Amino acid sequence: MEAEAPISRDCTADPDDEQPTILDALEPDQLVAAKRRFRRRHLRGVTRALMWGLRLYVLFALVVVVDRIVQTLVGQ
Amino acid sequence: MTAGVDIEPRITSEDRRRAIDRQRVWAARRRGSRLQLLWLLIGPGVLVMLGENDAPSMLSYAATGAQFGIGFFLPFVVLTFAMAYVVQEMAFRIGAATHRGHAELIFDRFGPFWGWFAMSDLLLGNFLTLITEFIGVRAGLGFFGVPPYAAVIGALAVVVALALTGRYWTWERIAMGLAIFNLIFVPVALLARPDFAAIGHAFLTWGPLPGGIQPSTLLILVADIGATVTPWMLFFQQSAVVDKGLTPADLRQGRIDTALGAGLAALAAIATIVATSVLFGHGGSARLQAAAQFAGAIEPHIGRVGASLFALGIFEAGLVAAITISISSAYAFSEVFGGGHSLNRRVREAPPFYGVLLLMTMIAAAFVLIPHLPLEFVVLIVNVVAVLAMPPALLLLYLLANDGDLMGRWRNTQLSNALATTVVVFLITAGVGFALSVLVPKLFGG
Repeated sequence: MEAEAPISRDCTADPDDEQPTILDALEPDQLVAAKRRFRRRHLRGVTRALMWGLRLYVLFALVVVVDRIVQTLVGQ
Repeated sequence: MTAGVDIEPRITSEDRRRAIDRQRVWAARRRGSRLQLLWLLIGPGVLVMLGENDAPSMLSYAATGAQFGIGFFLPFVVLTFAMAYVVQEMAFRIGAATHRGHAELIFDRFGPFWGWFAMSDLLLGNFLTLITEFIGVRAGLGFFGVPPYAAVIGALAVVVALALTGRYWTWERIAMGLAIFNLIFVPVALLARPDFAAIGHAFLTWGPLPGGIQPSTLLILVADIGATVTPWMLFFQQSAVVDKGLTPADLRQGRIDTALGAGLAALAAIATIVATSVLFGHGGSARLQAAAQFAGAIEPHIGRVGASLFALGIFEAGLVAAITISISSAYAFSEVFGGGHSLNRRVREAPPFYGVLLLMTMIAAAFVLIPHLPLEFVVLIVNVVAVLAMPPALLLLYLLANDGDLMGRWRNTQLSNALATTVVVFLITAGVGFALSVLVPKLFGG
């Protein structure tokens, strides 16, 4: 995957050129039609707890921000 | 690591256009032309960093200089950009290794439940930020007497026209050409006749910090962090790397690109603080939302030319960020809902992608033109909201960057993980500190 695929075409080539050059210039999974979905990974244990903890943290912090805005508005 | 190809796939116009860019890269690599290779491969890193030096960020730096002068915040800003590099390098590496956008990977690997949390943070943050970019455009051009509707509609036209080029390469080069004008703040700083000894002292001692730590200091501190590390940057850089067609062979140049962007953006940020430090000690109590007033306030100290350059800088910051942030929303939305998500597609080839871009940008622009809306509060909170939303985004980034199935040999090293953990802890500490300063101001002498 790391090595560049060899091509022999002029780099100013027209985008409508034939397929073989395109296939060589791009890595296989860069082609739009070749893209596949990745398998789902289920979160467990510490990771899941961390995700929930950070999500709750964001909700709490947003409440604080809204409170700050209200205080500022009332102050004016 | 990535899905295999069983049969020869259909070639799209997007593939063809991306292949042309990769052919140039291959040719430069074969010739051993390092500079040309770097020129071809830089882009997403420079754009994301200079794009994040947006209107609210520059106003946050301006407020920092006015309120605290030259001192603690100069090295602090460098630290925040170092954190931004750590985070963005991971996003770049994931994009180059997987050839998938950030939103796409989150939905695939963690499912829609967590995916929608990430998307809602992103889309809300991006929408609020886009509004502030148009406020910056309006304020910057307002200094020259341009009517608000002309400034906003003109900027909207530039954002849309640029996106419609149908070619990632063209979009990226024009956007980079505009983004480099972020350095306009450097001559402004020089016109302020800065005390270089004081600047050197600040970097060596991390001081002074006038007034110490108090609620207003924490607000500026959090806003300055939010001016450098935000969720949209992760989504943008990873998707742009994929759209540009970068691969693991380009890791070295991609890292240089990201570091170059961080360096240039830090330079512009420091220059802004230095420029507005002329207001410190002169009753300069400029607030974050005083967009148009900064240029006028510094004019007696640095002259009409300097003030005009400052106003142009705010305009440019808003315009470039509107260009990059609108694309980041379009990438994320279309990666999840399908229908094509590439600037290498024409409008008819990716209607949802361009539709989201156009709709979100137009609504944000329209908000700025509605009379009597309290727009200044959006400016005030947008960077703070970005900081608060960042830790969950960083956890997802961390999980993706350590995912052996996705990343293979390009997964995070122990050093990368240690640095990423430090950044997350730092951001959470800053956020909690800010929350405490609001809830229990006495803790900070408030």
